[in-house]
Amino acid sequence: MVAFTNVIPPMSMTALRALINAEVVAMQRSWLVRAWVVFALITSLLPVLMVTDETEYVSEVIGGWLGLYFIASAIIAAIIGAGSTAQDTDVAADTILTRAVTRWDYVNAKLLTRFACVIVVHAAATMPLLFFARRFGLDDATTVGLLMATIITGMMLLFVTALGVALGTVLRNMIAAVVIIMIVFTLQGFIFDFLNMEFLSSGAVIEMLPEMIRGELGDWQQTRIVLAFGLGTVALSAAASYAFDQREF
Amino acid sequence: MPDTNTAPAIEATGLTKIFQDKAVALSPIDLTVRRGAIFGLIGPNGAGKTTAFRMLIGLQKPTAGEIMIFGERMHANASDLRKRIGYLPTAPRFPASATPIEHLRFVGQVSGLDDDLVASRSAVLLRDLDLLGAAGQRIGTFSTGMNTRLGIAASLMNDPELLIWDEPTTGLDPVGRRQVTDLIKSLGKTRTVVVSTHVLGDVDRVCDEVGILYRGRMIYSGPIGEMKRRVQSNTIELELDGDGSRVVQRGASWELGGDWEWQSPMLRVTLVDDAPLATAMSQLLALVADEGVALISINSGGNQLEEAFLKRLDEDRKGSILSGWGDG
Repeated sequence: MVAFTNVIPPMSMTALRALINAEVVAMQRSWLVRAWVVFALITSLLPVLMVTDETEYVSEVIGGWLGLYFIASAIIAAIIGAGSTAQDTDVAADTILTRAVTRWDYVNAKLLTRFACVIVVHAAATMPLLFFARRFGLDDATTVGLLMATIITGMMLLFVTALGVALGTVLRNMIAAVVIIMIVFTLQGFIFDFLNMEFLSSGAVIEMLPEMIRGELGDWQQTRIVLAFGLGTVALSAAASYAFDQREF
Repeated sequence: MPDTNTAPAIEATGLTKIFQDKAVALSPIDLTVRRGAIFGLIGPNGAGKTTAFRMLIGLQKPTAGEIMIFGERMHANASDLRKRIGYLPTAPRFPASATPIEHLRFVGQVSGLDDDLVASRSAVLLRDLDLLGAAGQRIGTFSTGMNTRLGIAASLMNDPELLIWDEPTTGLDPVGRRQVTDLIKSLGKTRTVVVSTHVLGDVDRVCDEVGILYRGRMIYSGPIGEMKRRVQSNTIELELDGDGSRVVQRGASWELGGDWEWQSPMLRVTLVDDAPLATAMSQLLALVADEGVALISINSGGNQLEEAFLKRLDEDRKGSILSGWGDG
């Protein structure tokens, strides 16, 4: 009835590539991601309209918009991160983890596609905005400052995504993970202020954005923000991978 | 280090599973399945069959003990080893929005097959498992039986040497069940098959070796014929249309019959040891005909596996109680 020759080509990145392809298709079909893209693109037009009369400073408008955009996008990033390994675990166990894949292949595919999604949406929303704002607004911005503000906002979103993946993996519950992230973000200002490490607070970073865009923020201040969120993202990704590797299905 | 070319398909030693220090799913069990065997794992609900299977495929980690598949240790990241295995879970769950073709393509890609091979194998499997008509339908709309058939197709996609199928006849109608048991028989000619099921008739029809799991313990593991021999009792069962008590009265003085039991419509005769079955059967049929009772069906030892299974469970229960008393 069913007979095949028993030859399987050697594997290298095959499983990871197949998993990433499947995740990309799933993200394209996700209504949340589609809504996020629409939201990001539409709201990114608002500051352009504000600066076209050349009465608003680019640094203030873009800094303000990046802050609001970050808050809204962070919630979506938390959801897509937390849902990645906390949802459909039965399906993953039955159809993926019983195949020729490692746990690391699986969780890395989840992380990479979500990071890629965040970067693509962030770039799509911010790049045209930066171009139009500089062209039509009262330009007090520096190119390096604009790039740093955009990169740091994106890094904070990647950090939230990684936090979502890590918490979703540990708690195995997307809603609980998102609620905890929101509580952490509400309280972080007090905590980091108390620890005298306010540069780790996203609220403090958002307040610094206009200054950063004007190129007035010191190099060390920017470097430590990049290091904190970059290393934090790496650490959370590693923690999520380890937690998933230890998980029972 | 065992020779990976000659090592058994499965060799589990001291396999133990305790969930969160609360529930013992498997107390130490040893399980060996030789290459080329069709091995049936049977046991009541909650016996630990699915837990054992999930450990065999690396979804769960043993609390103690070790699992060797083809001489290599199975663990969560043993992806190369899983390339050689086709696993079917009980009532498999799939991405609801995908179609069977999309899902089989994904399974093929994950297994490292090239696109042509994926396409041709998908077509063959969908045809052989009667899913051609539903090939473009979303899996979320599938019945339990269709899900099981798709699970079987997916487990065969990588042309594995070892098949581990947990309840492969779940949700199938009698025709589908027969198709699957025939498929197991056919696949068992060229590869090792391990199946669990509640349907003892299926095991009897296709398996050459059997393991009985009961309350997390392996209370029997070996050839199916050996297990049946343990309960061989020369029993003849007749289904009658009429008053079988008259047959019992006349049979009481019968020298071949040791034990007679009439429970309408079944007459059960357990022969004395060494009674020739053919002679006893011809005499018994003559007796039934003399009494003018109509014979509907006759059965001599057809439920041997079920009897052996129940007897072994019973022996184990009594043994467990006695050993418990002894400890006290």
